[in-house]
Amino acid sequence: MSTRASEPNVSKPTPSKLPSNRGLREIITPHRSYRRLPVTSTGALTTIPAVIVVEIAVILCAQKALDLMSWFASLVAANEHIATRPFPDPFLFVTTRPMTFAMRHSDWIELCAVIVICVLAVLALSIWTKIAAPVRFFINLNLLLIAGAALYLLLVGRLGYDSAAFSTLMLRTALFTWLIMPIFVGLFASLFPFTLWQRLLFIVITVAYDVPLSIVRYALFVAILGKTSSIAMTDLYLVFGPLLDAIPIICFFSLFLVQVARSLEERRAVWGWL
Amino acid sequence: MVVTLLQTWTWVVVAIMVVYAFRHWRFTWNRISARQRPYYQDLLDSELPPVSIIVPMHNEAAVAKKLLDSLVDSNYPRELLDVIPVDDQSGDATPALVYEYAQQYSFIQPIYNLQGERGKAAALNRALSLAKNEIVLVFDADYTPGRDLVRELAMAFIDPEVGAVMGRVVPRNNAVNLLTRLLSLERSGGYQVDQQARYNLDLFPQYGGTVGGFRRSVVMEMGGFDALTLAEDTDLTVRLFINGWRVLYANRAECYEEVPENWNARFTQLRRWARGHNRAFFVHIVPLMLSKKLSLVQKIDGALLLFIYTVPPILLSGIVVNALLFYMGAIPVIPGIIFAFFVVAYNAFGNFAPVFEVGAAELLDGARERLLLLPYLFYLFLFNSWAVTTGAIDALGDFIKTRRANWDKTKRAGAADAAR
Amino acid sequence: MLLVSLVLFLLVLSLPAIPSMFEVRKPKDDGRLHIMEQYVRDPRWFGRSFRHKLAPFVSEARGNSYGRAELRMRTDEEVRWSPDLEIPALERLRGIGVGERVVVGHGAGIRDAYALERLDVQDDVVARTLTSDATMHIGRAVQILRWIDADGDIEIDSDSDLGLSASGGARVTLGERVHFERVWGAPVASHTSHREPFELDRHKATILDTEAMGGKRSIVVYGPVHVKAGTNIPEHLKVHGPVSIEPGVTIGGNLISRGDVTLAEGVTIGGHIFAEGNIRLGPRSRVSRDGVAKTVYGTGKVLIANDVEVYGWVVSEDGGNTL
Repeated sequence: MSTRASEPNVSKPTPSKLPSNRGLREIITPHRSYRRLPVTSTGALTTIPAVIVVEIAVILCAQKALDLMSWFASLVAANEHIATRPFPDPFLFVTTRPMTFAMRHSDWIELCAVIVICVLAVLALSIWTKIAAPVRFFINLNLLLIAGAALYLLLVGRLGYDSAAFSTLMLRTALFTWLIMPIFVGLFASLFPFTLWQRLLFIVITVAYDVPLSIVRYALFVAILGKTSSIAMTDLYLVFGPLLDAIPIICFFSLFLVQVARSLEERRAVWGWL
Repeated sequence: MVVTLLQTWTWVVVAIMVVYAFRHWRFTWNRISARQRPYYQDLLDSELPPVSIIVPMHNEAAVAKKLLDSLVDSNYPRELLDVIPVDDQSGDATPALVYEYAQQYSFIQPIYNLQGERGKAAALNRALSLAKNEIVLVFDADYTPGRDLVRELAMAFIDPEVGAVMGRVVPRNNAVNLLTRLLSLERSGGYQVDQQARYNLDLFPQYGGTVGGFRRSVVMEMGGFDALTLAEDTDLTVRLFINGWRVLYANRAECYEEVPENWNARFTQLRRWARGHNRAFFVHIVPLMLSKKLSLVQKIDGALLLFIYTVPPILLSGIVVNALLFYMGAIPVIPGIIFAFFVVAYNAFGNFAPVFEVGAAELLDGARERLLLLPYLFYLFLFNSWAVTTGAIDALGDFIKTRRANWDKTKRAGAADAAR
Repeated sequence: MLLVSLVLFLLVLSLPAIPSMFEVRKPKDDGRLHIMEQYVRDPRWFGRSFRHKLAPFVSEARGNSYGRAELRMRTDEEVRWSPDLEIPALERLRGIGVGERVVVGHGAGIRDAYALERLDVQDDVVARTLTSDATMHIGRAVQILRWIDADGDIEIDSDSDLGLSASGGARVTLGERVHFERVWGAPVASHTSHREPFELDRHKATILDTEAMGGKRSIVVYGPVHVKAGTNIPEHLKVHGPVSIEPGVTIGGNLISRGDVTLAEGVTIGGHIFAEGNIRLGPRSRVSRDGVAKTVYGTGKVLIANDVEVYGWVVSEDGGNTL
């Protein structure tokens, strides 16, 4: 005798809708080797107007930012009793105000001493491996640049940049950096599933953040060079110049990506399959 | 004149970086958004082919047991398996360990190289001459293949065009320190995005020498592995493509590996890779460009792949040139900025994916806070560049003097664990 | 002021890097990527693992006229046993129904049903999973939400949807307009009214016939390929593009295409079919043979006409259909 399945606690025959299986792919997270991200060409192309907007903003605000750079550097120099003389430098669509400032002259004894100390330090770091290798290599780079500058000064007598030329270089570099940065950052931003506002914010933040960085850095360089000599100039520019501008970009990039990762986790349905 | 030359060189360096930036941007876009090219792991076959598995070993007693246990545990039919551990003049308990397994399992048949030529290429050649089967897989001793991995890799060879296959390598010891965490990021970028994109675009996925395999007859016909090289994997990849074979990349075929845990070991590894890879560049660049079996796009990508370990010395030269130009008061601003930005984005080429490629890979892998380590990739720039540069110099010397490189093995972290 | 600007500089430089520094000092996300090292691809995995979970209940309940239990599946599920379990038409049953013989009435809705002998599902049923240790019959317009598995023959009538996976230890016969994603059988066979051969598009295709083979056993072609009737390819055919195959062609090995694959009718493939596109298997197509399992894999749709037999697995990433 068959026993019906309608035992006391089976639901009454009022049809309740069972879910369709059409959305299975949306609730099963694909294995990482099968995944794609929810980006589209249209979404990526929205980076272009975002970059254009920021470029326009840079062009409009560059003069003020450069004036701030010059002003803060003068302030710091004055406080450090470094004599400065600003001069106008019309360049592209702005007029920068670089300055001449006094730098101590290094005699041949000092230059030789710098070379010897740097070389010995490099050798010592090669042997003393307690410090992590990347840190040692970075320190060595700085030492070699300084030693190279000292050697050049010893042989040639003067570096290619005096204080005025260096100051001009720093300000022009800052301007070019603010103009190039949105494009560079836009290349990054175009690849990921950011919303339009996230893209815009990412580009704006990285460029905007570079302004105070440039202001403080320029003042610091003027103060250091004014207190010492031109030996450190090359190192300051090459290692702590544009190279350093890119690091906050990567930092902000990683922060924004973490947000994207969180939203992907919450919205599993967004994963593409194969 | 000197200034002009130096400034021109700066532009050349920047141009090289822009070319690679475009290449990797294209790869990242392809991996993230395009339809992915499937591999053959979902093909089930009751007529599985017989497979030989070669495991080169030199002082691997600390790690080899796990590998051998994994192979014993494999679901691949034992009657179709032929495991050949090659003991390469080990000074530790490797020979004894391998012998013990051979006594227990008839499908494990080791070779003991007591006094012949050393090195991975030589070990592979030795094993190849004795391997019984057409399909040969290779695992390094510190890997632990999953139960289905042998089948997943073997399925590549249902395709008559395929000469070799490469799986995905995943660090097991990624959490040890900052170095291992950064290497894990690099691996992700290199496999999840770079290799897969090259496979999608029908370019040059690379056989990596482990978690991979090849056709025995094809390799024997090409003269076996070049014993002069330290990068027998790159060498084989290029030779296969030049001769019209294809290398498949199996993103789903994953296997744990061990990454170096200290800077010395990493330096040695990178230097060896650079030395071997650059030698492959010197030897194969012309035949590659002249090959009638490749399209123009494939030749270009192949050349970029071969050239990639030459880029770090060029980058370092860019720094030197910029320094000289600065001393002379003639530094070009715009290329200098672009150069700086790309340097930070890249942490120096080689197998090192740029930051956006690593970011994409980590998103696909389901990462979250580890994305915050991306800025630290720049930390590796000088270290990687210098290690690769020394390897490139070694390679140039090898090529000019036709000298044989000595195999300088990466020290296993497992050995340190065993010693504790 | 020099010191102040130095401090400011370091502060501005390090501010965006602070979260990164925290992640290095106190890692929140440093676990290794998980690899399922014990994972083995098994087309009948769903059925096997389901049976394994229910085995203790079944061995205890069997022989009784009625049994109930709570089992921990993904959530807690109620399991009911009856030797002849009949779910009336239009009824909704929660939990898992197990019996020697199970009948699911017309229009009923069930979660899981497991028969130790025959499982009979009538028309318009919605079920999450169906399992049988012997044979299974599925009526018209049945919707499976997850999978089905039987040790014996499975027969599926028209307009049904087989969910994620359908697997059988013996013959699996698909009626007309049956939708599937993955089907495993020995063989997977079709019984529909679509008896006309598929039309083939040979526009700009390389024509391949026995003469063009030039005595080769395997062949690789770049661009679209059209294989002439009666051609015999002893081993493999790989095409970097779409491939269309006229009636009566035999390929001894594998057929691999970077595009769509169309078999007009009466084509025999000894090995796998792998397509980065759609696959259309015309009437009387044969893939592999009794005792040898191969796979038909399409990244697009797999469309199956009448009287097709595939020994092994049919996988359609974009969803397949019988016609």
